[in-house]
Amino acid sequence: MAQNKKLQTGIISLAIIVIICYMLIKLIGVRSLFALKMIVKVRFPKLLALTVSGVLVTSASLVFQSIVNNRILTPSMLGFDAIYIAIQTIIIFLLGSVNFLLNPIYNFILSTGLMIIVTLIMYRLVLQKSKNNVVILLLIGLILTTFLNNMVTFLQSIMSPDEYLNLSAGISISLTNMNLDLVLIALPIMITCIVLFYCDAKRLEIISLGEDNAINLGLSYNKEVIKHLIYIAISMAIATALVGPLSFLGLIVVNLTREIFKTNNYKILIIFSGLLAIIFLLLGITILEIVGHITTLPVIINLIGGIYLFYIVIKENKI
Amino acid sequence: MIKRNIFRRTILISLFIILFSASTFIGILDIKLIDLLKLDREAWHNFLYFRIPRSVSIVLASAGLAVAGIIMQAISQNKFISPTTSGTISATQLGMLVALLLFPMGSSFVKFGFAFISALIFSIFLMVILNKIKIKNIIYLPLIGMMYGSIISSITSVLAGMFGKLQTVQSWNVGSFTLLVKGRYELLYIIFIPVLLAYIYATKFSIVGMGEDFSKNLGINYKSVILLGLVLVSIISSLTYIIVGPLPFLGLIIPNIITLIYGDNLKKSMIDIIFLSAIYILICDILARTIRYPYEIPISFVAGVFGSLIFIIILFGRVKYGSK
Amino acid sequence: MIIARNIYKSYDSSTVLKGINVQIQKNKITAIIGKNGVGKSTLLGIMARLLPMDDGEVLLDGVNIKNIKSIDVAKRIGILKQTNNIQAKITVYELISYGRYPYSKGRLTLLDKQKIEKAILYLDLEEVKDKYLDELSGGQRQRAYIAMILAQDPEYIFLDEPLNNLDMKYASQLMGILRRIVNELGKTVVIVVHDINIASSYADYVIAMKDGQIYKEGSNLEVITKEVLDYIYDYDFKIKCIDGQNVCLYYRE
Repeated sequence: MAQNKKLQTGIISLAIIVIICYMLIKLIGVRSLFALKMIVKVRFPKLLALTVSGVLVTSASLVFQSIVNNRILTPSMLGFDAIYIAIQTIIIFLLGSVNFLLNPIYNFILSTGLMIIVTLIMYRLVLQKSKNNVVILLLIGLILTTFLNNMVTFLQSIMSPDEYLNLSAGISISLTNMNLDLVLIALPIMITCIVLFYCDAKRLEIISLGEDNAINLGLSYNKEVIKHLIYIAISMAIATALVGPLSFLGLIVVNLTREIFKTNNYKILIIFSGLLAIIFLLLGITILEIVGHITTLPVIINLIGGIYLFYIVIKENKI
Repeated sequence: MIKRNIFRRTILISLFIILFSASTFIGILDIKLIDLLKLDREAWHNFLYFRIPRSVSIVLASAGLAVAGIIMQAISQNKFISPTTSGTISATQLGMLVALLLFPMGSSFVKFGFAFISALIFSIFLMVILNKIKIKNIIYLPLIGMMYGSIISSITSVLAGMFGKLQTVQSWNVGSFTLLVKGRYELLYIIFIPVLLAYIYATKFSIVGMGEDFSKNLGINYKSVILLGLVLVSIISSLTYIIVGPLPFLGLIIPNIITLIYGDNLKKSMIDIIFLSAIYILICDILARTIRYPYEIPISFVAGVFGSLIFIIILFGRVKYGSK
Repeated sequence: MIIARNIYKSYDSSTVLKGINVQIQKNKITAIIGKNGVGKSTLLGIMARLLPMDDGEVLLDGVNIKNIKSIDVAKRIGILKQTNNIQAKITVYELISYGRYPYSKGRLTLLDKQKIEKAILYLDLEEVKDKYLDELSGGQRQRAYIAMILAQDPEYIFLDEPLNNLDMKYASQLMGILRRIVNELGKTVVIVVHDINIASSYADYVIAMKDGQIYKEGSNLEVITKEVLDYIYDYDFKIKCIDGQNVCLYYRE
């Protein structure tokens, strides 16, 4: 227990340090007060955006893992990333680069809305059927991803190189033009989500015991699952639309937190995996800025997440 | 029973001949049978230079991928594994990128070599991991495979990004038969070798799929047969990817359809697999070329769309009846 | 009192339960026996509202179980199914404390803690209570699950094949614990078992099922007879009465 306290304080401190580093790193070598103000003004929305997305993805992943009773699956497998990239590609393709970020708020609402609709359709179609429910849902998500990636590849190959560059920039989390208004819309949603999550924490723990045990202890299992799937759809959609594809981030931080704290207490898990998510994202962005953007953050998260996943699988010797 | 199979096979072959001819004669450059019979030089030139290579490539590529798929399914005893769902295609892509970076002027052969080795190494790695762990639900397998594939793709992405080759890599992902003219597609003929070997070793592959102890009991060298299977699959995957591009899900859906009808006996169904896959891809090809006539939609897109839909249908079918 | 009336249940195209009428005897250990697939687990699940039925009703103390809030049912019926592969990294103590959820929704009161401690004592888990589930042996894990049901403090405890994968030592240990629970704590236990001799040795009341219906129910001496067993299992049994108990011999041709 004392060890846990130490770990908790450690992570909180680390988070604070990373946030400060992120905000100040561009200040190295800057002299004027004006420049200082500009930098902070630009960095702050990005910081908020990353925080909001990181926390939303983490909570969605936690909820998702308790439903599927499996530590290696993440909600991004339902296809959010692919849907998001597809939407962005189609927009550029149909409207041209100029119109692309014309109105980020419309873009945001459109993307979020479409992602939620597609997911809800998938739920509707799949969850009537068999017992293997959620796993099939995932497979369909992966097929959807392949299908959309196919289409995106095709469209991207007939785009002009300029359009392609704009697309890549728009999709990645370089956040060069993070709109503060967007973040301010997303922020209260995130806070609501977290509060809801916190209240629901115990129920989520019971759900993670499996369907039969959950019903035995008095939960309306089916209702709870649907409620949580909708929650996942909304959080993932907002997070992805705000900041871009986040793939395995949830996988990494939730599993890492579980390994560090060795607990099933969802209140602790959400707080500290959320913090870890923020740390990861900020570190990632900062490193990319230092090294010179050789690639995008989603790709790195993908890579690290994937390797970590295989590590877990091999260590536990089962799936 | 045998009569039914012969009947089915006749239908398959007839369909194949019809579609093959259709595919060969459709296109921007109209070729009419009359012209060929009249020994019109231009008609024959188009025929031999564009059409025949194209149609032959289609058949070879699809047959190869379907056979690769069924080999993989046999040796892993899992109906959902295929080059698309096991990261093999992504590995091939990585190999090609490495070849491009190290030998920018390299021939197709060099590309093939790197692609093949990359596909083989990553497949072996996956197989080793899968053997060590207990999988509770077989549906997890394609999930793992596709995640594995996306990890490899990330590596490729990072590498490509570092050297500014991102869009080049993207262009490889577009499967198209338009570039298949005489002189560029001959490498595909190599596919005959792995397909033939697959036929010869069919029984061994089936046995090996039942486990190491089972195979040893029957006197089969487990490790070498698995290795042979993976080598054949890697050859086929890299060859088809380099020359044609990806044909998503083909190696998954065709074997599944065939085994649903004919059962798991590889030797018996090999020929049907080849014809059915050719028919499937010929249909996709004809659609790809006629839907937006005279423009051609990449075959990988059409195959991807149909492949996904058919995969979902198969998925529901198999899960409902609880079969493996 | 739990009464099942006219229960019908089908899976896909086959009807598993064809009009089951049964009343669960209080303060006894009841064993449900029958061939594989005859519907024992299905019946147990339906009575504990784990599974929906196609027709019929289950009455819990005179009220249709459908009309009682699930969380209230949880305080009166506890069910443990066969397959339990809880992935979560939880300790024995944490698992058992989940059993108090229907009462305190997570905030453990003094009463909750007492019930938990009692369950730990009963199931002899004092030494492993702070260990993680995946660190336990099969027998210990099964005891932990049952401790959770015990902490749930329901009047009725339903167990679906609780002795699977347990060695003889642990199996009889567990049955002994169930016996104590019934005798000392006044609870009612219903178990689905495969081993007829377990039913014969430990159950007070036996329900024998065949073809989706209850063929015979009664005390274990009444039901564990050659006539009944031969019929429901389609087999030729040899029954010997040893020390006042009917023992089945089934491996001698």
